[in-house]
Amino acid sequence: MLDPARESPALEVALERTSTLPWPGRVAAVSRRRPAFDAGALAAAIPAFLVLLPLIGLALTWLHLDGEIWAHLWSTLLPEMLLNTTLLMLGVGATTLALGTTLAWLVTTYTFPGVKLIEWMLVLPVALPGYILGYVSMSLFDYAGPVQTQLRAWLGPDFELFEFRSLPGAIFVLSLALYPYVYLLARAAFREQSAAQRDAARAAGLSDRAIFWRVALPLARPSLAAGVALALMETLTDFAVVRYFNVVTLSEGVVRLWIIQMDRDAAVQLASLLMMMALGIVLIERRLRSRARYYQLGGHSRPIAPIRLSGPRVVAALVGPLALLFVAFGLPVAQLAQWAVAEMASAEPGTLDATFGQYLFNTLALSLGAALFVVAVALGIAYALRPRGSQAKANAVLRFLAHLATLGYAIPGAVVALGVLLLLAPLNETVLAWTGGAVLLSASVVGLLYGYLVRFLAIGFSGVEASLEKVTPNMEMAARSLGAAPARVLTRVHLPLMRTGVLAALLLVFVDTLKELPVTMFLRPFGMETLSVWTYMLASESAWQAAAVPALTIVLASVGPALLLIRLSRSGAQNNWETRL
Amino acid sequence: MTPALRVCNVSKRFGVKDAYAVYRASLEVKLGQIVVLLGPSGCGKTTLLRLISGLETPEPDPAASIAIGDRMVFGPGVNTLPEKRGVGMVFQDYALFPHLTVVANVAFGLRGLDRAEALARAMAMLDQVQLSGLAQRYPHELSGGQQQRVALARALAPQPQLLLLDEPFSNLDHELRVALRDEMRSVLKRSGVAALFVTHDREEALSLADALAVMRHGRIVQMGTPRELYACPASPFVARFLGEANFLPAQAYGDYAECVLGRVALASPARGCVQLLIRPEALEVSADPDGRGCVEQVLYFGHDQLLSLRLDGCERLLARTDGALAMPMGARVSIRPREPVRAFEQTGSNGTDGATDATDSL
Repeated sequence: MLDPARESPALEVALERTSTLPWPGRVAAVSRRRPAFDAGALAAAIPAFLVLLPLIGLALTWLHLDGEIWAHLWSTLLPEMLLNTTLLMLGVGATTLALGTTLAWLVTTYTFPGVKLIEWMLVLPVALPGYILGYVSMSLFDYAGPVQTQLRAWLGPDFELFEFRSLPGAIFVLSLALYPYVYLLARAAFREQSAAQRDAARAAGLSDRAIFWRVALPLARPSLAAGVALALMETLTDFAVVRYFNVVTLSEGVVRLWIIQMDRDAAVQLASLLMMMALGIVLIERRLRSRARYYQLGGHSRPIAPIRLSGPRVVAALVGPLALLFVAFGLPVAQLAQWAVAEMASAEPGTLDATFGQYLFNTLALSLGAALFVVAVALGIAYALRPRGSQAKANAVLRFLAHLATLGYAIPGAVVALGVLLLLAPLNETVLAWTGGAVLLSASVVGLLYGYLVRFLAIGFSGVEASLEKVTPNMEMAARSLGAAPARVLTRVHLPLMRTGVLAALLLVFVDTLKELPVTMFLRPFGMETLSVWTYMLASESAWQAAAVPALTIVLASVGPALLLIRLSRSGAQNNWETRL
Repeated sequence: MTPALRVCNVSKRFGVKDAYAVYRASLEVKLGQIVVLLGPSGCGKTTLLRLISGLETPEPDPAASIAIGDRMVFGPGVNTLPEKRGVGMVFQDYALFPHLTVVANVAFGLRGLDRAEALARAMAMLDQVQLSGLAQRYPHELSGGQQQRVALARALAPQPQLLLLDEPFSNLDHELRVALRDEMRSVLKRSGVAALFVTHDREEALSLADALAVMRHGRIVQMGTPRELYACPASPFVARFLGEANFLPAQAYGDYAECVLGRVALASPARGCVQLLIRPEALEVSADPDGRGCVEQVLYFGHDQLLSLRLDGCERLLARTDGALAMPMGARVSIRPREPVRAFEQTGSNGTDGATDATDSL
């Protein structure tokens, strides 16, 4: 490239005389327009920034820490909350890591009758959100529940399992609900490893066991870290399970301070602490990942031929996963089905239908709206930031901002809800005045959709961005040169190529919204019930049978997308998805 | 007659602080002509192509303009959108639409026709590149060479006034490249389209071009027919970029100069310290026990051979001679230029330094 100023002074003078081009020194005088970023990328930055705002708002509360609040918190529940949250995360982290990795190793390394079926069935528990699995497990395994009753009948009246309504109980439930995240990522990581690596290890004299510990596991470490991080984020979000189980945690504390004690200032301070913890998990995960990027160098690698199991080992390989699935999915769903049937039989004719119909409609409308809104924003951001040759450098900053905006997924739902409320509260009065008192912004569908956007943009964005990579800059240029205006390029080239990715993103955001509890509960317009809120309300009042109808609906709606997850994680190209999911 | 493309004084840089990627480039492509833009990588040739296609906007400058046919597409107050410029493009990575069949790819740019007519036109285009048998395949089912032919057919189908080709062969292996080059030249000539072809491969440039423009550091340093440029390069850089070249320091006295080879005739008069350009094939080498040169290395190619000669006084020269001439290593030879040679006055800005960096990037 030419920089005339750096060439000989004589040349510079000559050029100065002949050229009317803007020189570095007098750009402002001559150049009419030279945007620092192109307009499209800037347009992408605005929604990305909006998504970050609630989180920034919460972080800013650290500027005026209220010592009195903290002193009060410290003297009351804070130490217990911190201890319980830490123990819960350690417990869930270790259990999901062990379960997910073992199961993934089993289905990728060995083959036995039924392995394919088990491979996808192991994802099913993801369709049971904690606040559903929690209350069903409680009813099943509590002292008065059918399992302990049966055990007492067999083993004598003095038999007692551990106290289920406790921290270990909560760890048990959350681990069963969340191990699929680790399982999915570990499975994909083991699949990617090449036969040559394992052969080399075997040639070096390592046993199967040693290969697992010394080759496969270290290679899969980045994926395992990502999976455990996802499970921990969900653990941090949860306030329903811990409440069923009487475990006081930070999330539960935020909700209690805010909703029950109506002490919003304290809730905000606690929420910002919770947010820092969530960001801490993200940072640790990123560190674990970035220091260890393992690639299979060279062309196509030979896939690993699974080892065939026979005899008693088949039985062991089948019994383990099936028993887990029975406890984590089969039994709870059966229990829900039984309750739902009983509830429908006992309810006064007509009443259930009306309420259920209204709540179902609310839920579907909200989830559909959220899916369309979130994916549209994600699509807009990703499209505006798509690589286009010359702007690549300027876009790097905005690209970083967009990726930062996807951090919302790591932030607990209650924290997101509080952040949105904090942000919208100052606008409330204005909007009330505008609309003649008709709309309270902070308790409207606007606030709710905003909350969903903050929380689920990551899901929409990674799916959309991965599929956008199928359209190369040259492809777009070719279409332009063939006479297609940008809108036509979008409809004829981008959208057809992105269809699967966009549909998958829509489906995933849809079902995550459908299941979402905290954001919906705290931001919904007054009196607008959804299936998830209804389930939780009934379950927390121990109206288990009544809660079964909406709970079962949620589970059934979530099974399809759960299976989609395993399809997506099958192709290496979609790896992007999982690492940020 | 109006040329198919006229570019005047177009410049581009990507940031206020960045150097110019293209600086005051001017260029003309006549109707039906193939012009090759040749230069080392990073010299701005692809950027110039993108400026012409409208995918990048040149720096505002009242003297800058781009006209395609008789239509001004960029100039003061004018900046036509890429899709309205009627320019076909062919890319290095083919950029075929993976979700469309071959025939649908070719028909993509055919608008304003009914479906049957568009398909017939696309099929006719495919016939021209001998791919009509693969019309219903998808791009990923084709070889690289076939994909590039589809890309050519797709770009030509809307009958553009101008075709821009950005290193279209660089993803192909050598043999395929040569075959495809000949085929492309005849397709282009048959369709009568004017073409601007970007490459960094000099053999490709010399054999394809009706006219050649050499770019360096964002500016066009010389333009002419391949023959003119090879025989009369404007600078040592162009000379070296277009072929092997020997440079000898000399003292010029009008129509002759004195150098290690003795007195040699000059093609055009010069005075003072000069660099003489002598192409390897322009050297006459004969066995001579009293000669001033010595054969250091022989690269034998059959029909010809490349000799590396060392002159007393440490100069090293390359000479290309008939393959039949047996030259043992270490033989003494005498060396004479066959014809008058070109002399370059020694200046700082376009000296041999530049010529070295050009050969490095080849």
